[in-house]
Amino acid sequence: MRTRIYLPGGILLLVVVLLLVALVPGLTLAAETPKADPLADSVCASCHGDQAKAFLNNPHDRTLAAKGWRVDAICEACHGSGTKHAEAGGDKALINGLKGLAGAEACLKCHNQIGDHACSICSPVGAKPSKGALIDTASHLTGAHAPQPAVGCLDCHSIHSATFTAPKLLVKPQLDLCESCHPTTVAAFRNKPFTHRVGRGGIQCTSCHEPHGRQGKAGLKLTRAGELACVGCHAEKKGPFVFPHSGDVAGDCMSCHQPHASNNPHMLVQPDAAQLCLNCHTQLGGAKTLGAQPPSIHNVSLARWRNCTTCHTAIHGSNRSPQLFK
Amino acid sequence: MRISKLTRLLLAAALLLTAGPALSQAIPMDLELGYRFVNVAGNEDMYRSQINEREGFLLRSFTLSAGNGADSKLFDKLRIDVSDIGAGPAGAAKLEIGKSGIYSFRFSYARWQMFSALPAFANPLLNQGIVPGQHTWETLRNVYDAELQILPGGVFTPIFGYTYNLYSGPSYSTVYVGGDEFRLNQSFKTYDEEPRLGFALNTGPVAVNFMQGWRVSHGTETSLLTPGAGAGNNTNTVLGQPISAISYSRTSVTDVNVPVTTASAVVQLGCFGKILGTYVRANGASDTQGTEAGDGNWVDFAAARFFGGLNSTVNSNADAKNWRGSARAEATVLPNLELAGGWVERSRDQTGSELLSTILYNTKNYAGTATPNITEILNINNGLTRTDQVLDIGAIYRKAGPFGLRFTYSHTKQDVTLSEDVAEIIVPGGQSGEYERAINTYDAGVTFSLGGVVLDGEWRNDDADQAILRSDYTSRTTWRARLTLNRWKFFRISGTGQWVSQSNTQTGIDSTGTFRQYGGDIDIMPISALTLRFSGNAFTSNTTFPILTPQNLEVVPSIMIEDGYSLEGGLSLNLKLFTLQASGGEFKNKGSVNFKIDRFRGGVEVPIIKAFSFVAEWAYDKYTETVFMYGDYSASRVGLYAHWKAF
Repeated sequence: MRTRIYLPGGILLLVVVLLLVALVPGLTLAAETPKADPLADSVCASCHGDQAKAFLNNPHDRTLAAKGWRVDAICEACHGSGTKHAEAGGDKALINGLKGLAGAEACLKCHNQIGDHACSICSPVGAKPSKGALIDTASHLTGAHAPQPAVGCLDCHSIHSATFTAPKLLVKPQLDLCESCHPTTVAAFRNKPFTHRVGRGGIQCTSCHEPHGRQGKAGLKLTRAGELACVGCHAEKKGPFVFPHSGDVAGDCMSCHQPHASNNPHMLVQPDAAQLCLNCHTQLGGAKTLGAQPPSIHNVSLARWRNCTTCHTAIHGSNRSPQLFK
Repeated sequence: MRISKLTRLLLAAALLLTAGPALSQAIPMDLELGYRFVNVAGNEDMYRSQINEREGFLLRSFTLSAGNGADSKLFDKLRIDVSDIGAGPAGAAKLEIGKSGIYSFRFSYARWQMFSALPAFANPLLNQGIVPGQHTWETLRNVYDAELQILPGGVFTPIFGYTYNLYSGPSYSTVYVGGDEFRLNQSFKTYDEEPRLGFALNTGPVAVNFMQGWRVSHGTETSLLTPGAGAGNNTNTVLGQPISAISYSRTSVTDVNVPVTTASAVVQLGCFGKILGTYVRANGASDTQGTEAGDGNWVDFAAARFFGGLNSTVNSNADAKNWRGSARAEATVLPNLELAGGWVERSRDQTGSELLSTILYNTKNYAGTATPNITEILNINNGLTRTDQVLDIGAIYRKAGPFGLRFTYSHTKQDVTLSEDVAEIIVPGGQSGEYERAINTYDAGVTFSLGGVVLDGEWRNDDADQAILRSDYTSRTTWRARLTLNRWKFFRISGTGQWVSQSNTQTGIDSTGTFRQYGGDIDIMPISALTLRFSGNAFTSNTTFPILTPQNLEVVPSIMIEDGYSLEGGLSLNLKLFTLQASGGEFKNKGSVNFKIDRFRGGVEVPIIKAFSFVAEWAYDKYTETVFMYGDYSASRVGLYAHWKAF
């Protein structure tokens, strides 16, 4: 198979449009009515001018400013009263510096509920669901990354110095961030031959995991219909099928597949398809297990029979073949 | 040039931007685009099955973000993130725009090109040196998702959303018919869409969310005998007759309708805690119409006839009633001490039926005497129910000096009931009935942080009474540990380990499995501009199941062994004149699959002016198998990009 040069339809136009967006002087025209400098009467900005100016682009500032909050009040929402700190000429002991768990406590005053905008200043318990986000919810107080001395909100999010190209005020791109505590998982994405494409262009860790989700469940997201995140993309495997296979009956996708990365084709948990199938489809007496009837006549010592999916092609479920042939 | 949906949508976004005579200052952005060259030596199919980075133009990244700087009348929030649009295999784009308290709109797009042409998987002809296997595909998935919220953050927020998932492509597959397997050319297209609407109601202490969606899926598939594949896989005769196909075709059309209702409620109990409840209802129905026709020299063992052609029609439908409910309470009983507990129940009640009518033409008995056409009618009605119930309680003590502690207990009960038909459709064996499983899970963790030293330990034990699937464990213990030393600016070291042991001692199963995984990273920053990074990972896994070989009913072990490691090293150098990144690594696995992968990456960015630079990147991958060597390849990619930064 030859390598072909791809020029997807419209890509050039897209590039031109994006360049126009960035370059057209119209975007940079001054507003019709000059606006007052929001930092003009700010005590905080008189010393922390750069931070205050940068914070004008921060969603925290944007949300509260739209509600009429003054700049200093926005600073004090997290840092506490700055009056004594200012009067003492900037004594750091007189202001809440928000390091470590103390920083997390400030975040949790508003972000106590997982949701897109869960700010108790504006909406006490959060009211903005995104698709599926509230299906299996928990709060930041009890979630998988609940703040503790070893890990807190500010280990992943930077309120003042977030990386511009990383959304959600993350301190660095998501994959790098997750790797700092989960290096072997991320290394598997990088090294193993069969993987989900994660990072640039591909999915993100948070495509499948809710980083603030419940303890002990790998923080897996669910679809709006309560299914595993896998079928959020692999929608054609949702069914319902007349003749379902394992994932619909018992078990789930991970009964046969490794979710992150695998040394085996199709990210299977075992490279030999026949052995993988026979792990379940074997009846040796004793325990009665689902689907344990062994196949008949197949001679799995021969290549023709050893590859079960050569014939049982509709392995994820079929609407026409009880044997999952088609 | 055909304008894609993506382009039109992004064009619309751009037009929104150009409404910005109202904008007061430049919008910060980061744009990187260019061209990637690809050169593959060896098995390009395997390269594409694993990496699939293609040659062509590439919008590597584009970020545009405006906060208060973009105080347009139309929006006060705007963010666009684009990654790897253009040459495959995967790209994504996301637009978020809104005005506080007025509206919030989010649109995302993702595209994946998937390719599989493996030498040794589903390949009955591998021993003859024929590669790849008989199942190959080159598919494309496009996913669009949009959501509009009106008056976000207010007391009442209407929400409108739409998701569209298109999966299509050509593929090769096989069909078993008439006593042999034949290769097929397939073409399929499935779209799955869901418009939805709902609302969020926020009265302060009580918040309610409701969403109603209507999932609709439509899939078509056409399969034709691959030219030249009429001889089939089996070169031997069956009952003295050669088996072959002259023609074969199959069509299938499937429609699925699934109304999905989602509701959740949160009641805040002052500072003490909260109560949460969720409910999901998704009752789906599918309907399939299909045809199948062909001519050949075939045998039907059930009818005890040879036959020369077939013609069949299929009508099938499935109904699945799904619901899922949960209730949960969380309470802060002491400073830093949180208690939580909840109940989740999921139920699935599914029925299916199929009416398959097949006519076999030009039949003759095994003695060679012509016989009349045979009509076979298969009428199947089946059903299954599945219930999963989970109770969990837990406690988190967030701060005990430098320690943090947590503990969770959960009890899971699974119940599956199969009707007689569904249980015996493959091989008669009396599989109908009820299957139950209960699992007790204990999960505990401790963290420690002091003076730049972070320790994290986790333990989890799952104890089940029995298996439903034979691959289920009855006992599994997991340990995890992590150590990070981050005391100095010039040096950081961390290490992780994970140990998993599982088994099922039920008579007739007797399976065992062990998994070990270790990793370590060292970052050295001798000067602020230079970072050196080294990492190593090692893993082993070993699972054993006794299985029954169908050809002779012998009990043999099904063994899966992995024993591998990775070693990586790299540097990052940030100077005024240029930035340089380089890394190299080796990954090797022994056991059931033996291979080695060498990967090298390099990149240099040279600023031309403050906001503009050139980027050159190089990537090299060499995949080497140590047994079959059918899949070996080496691939290098060179990318040249322009990088514009304005923020």
